[in-house]
Amino acid sequence: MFDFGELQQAIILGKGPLATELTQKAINEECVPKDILNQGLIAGMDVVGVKFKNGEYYLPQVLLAARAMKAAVVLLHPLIVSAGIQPIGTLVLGTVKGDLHDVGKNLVAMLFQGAGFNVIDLGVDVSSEKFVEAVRENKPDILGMSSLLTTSMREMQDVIQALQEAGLRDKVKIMVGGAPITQQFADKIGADAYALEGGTAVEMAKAMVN
Amino acid sequence: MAEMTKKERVNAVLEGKEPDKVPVFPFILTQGVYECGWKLPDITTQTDSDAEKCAQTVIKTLEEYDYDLALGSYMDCFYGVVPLGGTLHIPDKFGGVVSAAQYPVVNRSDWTQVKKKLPLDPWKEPRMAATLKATKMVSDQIGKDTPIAALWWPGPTAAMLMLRGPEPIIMDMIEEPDFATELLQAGNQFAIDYIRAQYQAGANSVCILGDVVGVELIPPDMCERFVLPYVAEIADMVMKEFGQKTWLHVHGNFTKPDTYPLIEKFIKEGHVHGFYLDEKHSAQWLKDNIIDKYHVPVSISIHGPNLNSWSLDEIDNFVKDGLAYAAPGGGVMVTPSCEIPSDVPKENFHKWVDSTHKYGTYPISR
Repeated sequence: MFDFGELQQAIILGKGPLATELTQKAINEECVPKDILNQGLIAGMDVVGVKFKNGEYYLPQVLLAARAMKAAVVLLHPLIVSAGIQPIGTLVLGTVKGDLHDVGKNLVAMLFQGAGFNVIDLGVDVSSEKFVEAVRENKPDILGMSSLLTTSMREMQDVIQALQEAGLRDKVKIMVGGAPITQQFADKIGADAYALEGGTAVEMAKAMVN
Repeated sequence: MAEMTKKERVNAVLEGKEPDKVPVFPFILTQGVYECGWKLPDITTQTDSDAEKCAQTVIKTLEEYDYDLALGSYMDCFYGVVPLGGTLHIPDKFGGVVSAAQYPVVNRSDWTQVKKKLPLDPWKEPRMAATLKATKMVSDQIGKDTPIAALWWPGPTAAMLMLRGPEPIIMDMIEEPDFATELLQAGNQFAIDYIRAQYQAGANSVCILGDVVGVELIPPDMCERFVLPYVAEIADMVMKEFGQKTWLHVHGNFTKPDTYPLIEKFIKEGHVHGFYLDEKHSAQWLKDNIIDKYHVPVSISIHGPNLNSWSLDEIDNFVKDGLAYAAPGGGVMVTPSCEIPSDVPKENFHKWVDSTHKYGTYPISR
């Protein structure tokens, strides 16, 4: 019987080659693709998210774990598609206009992907128009906005305003984050959620889509 | 106590002693540009900067806020990017900051060509040379009584900002540590050359080494390997060649059991003389865990966004409470958690400096 705990550990420890080897083994043993994904890969990334949230893990460990998961998912992808497994939700994500910082945003993307979300990353310096268009086109459950600068964080309010004007505000939950962002600021601009770091953001997002 | 000059005041703190009042280092970079009513393209381009305007950002903000420890010039964080083949993003909108649009070393194979362009001479690279000319102007004008700090980033942050960007350099450290070390050494040599040039141009006080890699991005064991030796190399040069001390402005949480031991290592092996930590460290923690334990001076940092959004009373109370606990005995300066926000409200900036000088006037008792 396949040991999902071993696959989880490979993800948690960021051991890419081992994670792909074990994923292939699980496929060969005809494990259910959904179990490989949920009990192996996502369960491993959940632990990574918690460790990051608790300060036990730093960026390198998350990067390695995310890469290990990505490599394993490549093997699993055809089976996921044929089995009709859906992501637990969709996140559209970007760093707001005027801000080119992407470390935090990328980290959030990795943790969300690891948790089983479909992540559409719009990149950095993203305009209100681009956010609105992405929400219209992809119909995400959550729109995530990131900012590292006190000056660019104001753009978040413009995006929310633009979504309202486009009639899309009530179609999507809005989550904001970044070093200068506070709960007070999130409340003030009418965001639905603020997370201090990526692990918490994932937990909040899971609750939102459930 | 008789009123000290700003230079005497900062020197007392660097010695771990009580000055006449607690000094303020507001770490002004881009804010000075907006304070002068300019936009970034007015002062800098991809290939050059205006030395006169770079100097004016310092003079104007000193006149306006009467803070204590200055830098010699407007600077951004990305010198070296363009001469090595990258490009900058220089926003023309109020509040923006310069950033790298394209790094020189996108792929590891790019390094072979990029390293042929090193070392860069800060006196010949026009954007950097302008800051050195500005430092000379500032030094000539106010350097007699006002301390002027030198500033740059040690190896990992220098390499991250100048060559590669955050994630690639961190992956290099994990996957190709020897390659990463080569980049870090190049970054550190660049830092040494630029800091040396700043002292030659007129910097006359502490060297502020700013590190954003620290334990913000990497774990303690990697920090020990990839940050500590570069800090030591610069601190040794600064002390040997200019007789000045080095303060480490390092990001990350040092209050945890796995990170706190690095404080001692930075003192003993990194030859750091003072700490300028970020907002994660309260005045109480700094006093108990650095000043009293290691007899090393520190700065108390107010979180930059709070400086923007807090009421004047909140700023006043933060300063008052922090100084009441940590300032007795001396060895305390006040700083923002990093570069002061570009859009800090004028009245908040004034309140922060004025409250520091008010509640930080010695004698102070708990």
